[in-house]
Amino acid sequence: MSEQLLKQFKKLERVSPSQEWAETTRNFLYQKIERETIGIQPTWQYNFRLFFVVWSRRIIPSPVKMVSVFTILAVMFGTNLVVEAGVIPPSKMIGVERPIEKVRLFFAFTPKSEIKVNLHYSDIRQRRVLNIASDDNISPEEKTRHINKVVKYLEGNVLGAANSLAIAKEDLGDNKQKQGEVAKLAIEITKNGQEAVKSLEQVKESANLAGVDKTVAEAQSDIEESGVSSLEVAVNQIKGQQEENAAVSSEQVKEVISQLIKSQSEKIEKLDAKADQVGVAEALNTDNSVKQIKDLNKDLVDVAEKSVQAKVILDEAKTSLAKDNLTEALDKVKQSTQITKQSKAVVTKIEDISLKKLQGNAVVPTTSTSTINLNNLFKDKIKDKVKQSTTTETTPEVILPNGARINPSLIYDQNSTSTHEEPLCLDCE
Amino acid sequence: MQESSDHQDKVLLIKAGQGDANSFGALFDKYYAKIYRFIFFKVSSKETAEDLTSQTFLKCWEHISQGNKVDKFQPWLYRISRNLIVDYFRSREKEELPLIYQESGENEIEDVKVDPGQNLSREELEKIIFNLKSEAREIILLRYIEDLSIQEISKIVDKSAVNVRVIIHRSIKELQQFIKE
Repeated sequence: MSEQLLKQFKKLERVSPSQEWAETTRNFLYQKIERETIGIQPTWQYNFRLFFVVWSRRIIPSPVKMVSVFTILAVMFGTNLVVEAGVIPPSKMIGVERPIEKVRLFFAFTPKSEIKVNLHYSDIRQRRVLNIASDDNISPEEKTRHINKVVKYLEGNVLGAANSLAIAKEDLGDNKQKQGEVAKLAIEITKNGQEAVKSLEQVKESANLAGVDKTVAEAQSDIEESGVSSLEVAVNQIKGQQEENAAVSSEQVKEVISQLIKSQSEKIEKLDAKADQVGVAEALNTDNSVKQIKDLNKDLVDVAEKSVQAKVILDEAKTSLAKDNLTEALDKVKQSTQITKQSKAVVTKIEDISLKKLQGNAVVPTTSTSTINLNNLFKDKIKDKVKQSTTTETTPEVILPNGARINPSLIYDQNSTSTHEEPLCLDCE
Repeated sequence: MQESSDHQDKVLLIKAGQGDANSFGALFDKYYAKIYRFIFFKVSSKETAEDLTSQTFLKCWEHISQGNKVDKFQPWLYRISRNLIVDYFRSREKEELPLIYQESGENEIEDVKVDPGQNLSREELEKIIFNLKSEAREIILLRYIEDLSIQEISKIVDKSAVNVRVIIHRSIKELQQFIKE
């Protein structure tokens, strides 16, 4: 009851003097001050005091604010450390990491510090994505979702670092020290990118999920490209510098380029193997029309040609590297990467077509097509076809990138006699 | 908010101290009604309250024009007005002093009974306020009308914060006698 009464006391705020009195008193005080201070000039002490009072508040934060900010930062960074220590989704602590990363990037005032932050998080995400891929306690759907998410962030980190490097490169001028620092960072980015590509390859193998293949492949391709372009920065920076004064030696750059050539060669080999595998599966697919087989042939020839071309260019890159022509070597690696990218797109296209056909036959794989044995999946279908096969149409041969030839019509009629030297694919059984 | 207001007052005071009449005018506009209310509920006379409010600001000007520093302007201004009230009552006959400034004695309580659930008029509320002991009246005014903190009130009335809390507690109990059963 008393509380209600106390609230009503607020009404007494309206008790005030008359406006007339207020006006008169203000004018009186105003005139008095004017009269008494006429001719007085502001002293330096006054100016200093005023400046101090006004600016101290803006510059020096209040203790309450300082304590609050420190507490928030301590909690955030403390949690972040726990997260970085190896927590994986679905842990809710993961949610803390992104805001912290954004805060750290916000406070990274130079492109160089931005690169460092991005590389730091790239390392964390490489470890995390591997942990998720090998975790058996997560359902395939969840795993796919988490891997795709982490891979996207990882890709963002490496590309972000490469972008910051491009900005840092613009502000260099003739400062040799800065040029050396940027060259060092460029090498770090390339190395980190190579590690990321390797980790992603492992993820594909250990996760064995169809849903992650596309994201991982895209990320790998973008990371590889950014790695090459970053290395280009390093090559340009060391060009024309005295070897003994350079922050990065040409040997270091050579080593990284040589690593790039090696990984590129491995990639071409893998792609060739995959093209063979997918090509065999498609060649044995009895649902294919003559036109489809012709198209397949064309695609496989294209892959084979590109593969040879990419290998030749890589050999040239090796020769340039041996002659210490780093720019040319890197240029060749770039060309080879582009060609491999094109042939990969063709293989992926064939693979997608195969998958769609399988899905059309109500076989929905949750595992990756890179590890699935397409030949086995088609085997039963082929057997059925063989039993009732009365094909009269002449089916063209399929020539695989490894040189093997397959005649699909011969599969249907086991009794038919063929004059062809290699009537069936050797890898079928 | 309070911190920001204190800082604003500090800047205005420094400027006013160097003869910036506008700054002093800004301080006057901000506080004259509060000081007037504080005095009015002590002296219960409109004219006297107006006169003492003017004197409060004059004293304030005299102090700062001499280059004296003021730490917290609002409590300091209330303290000036409080001293002026004491001087005012001292200048009159001793029997007219309110209880807080007398050594002994009590105000007579008017027969006021209200229902706090209903919308009370300003006159009814004023009656209740004037029927409170002077010490309680002062603190209730500062706490529930002017919304000052216990710390600020303790600086104005020159009592400890614990003491102020005790007085508020007693005053709330005292208010019960004005509530209809």
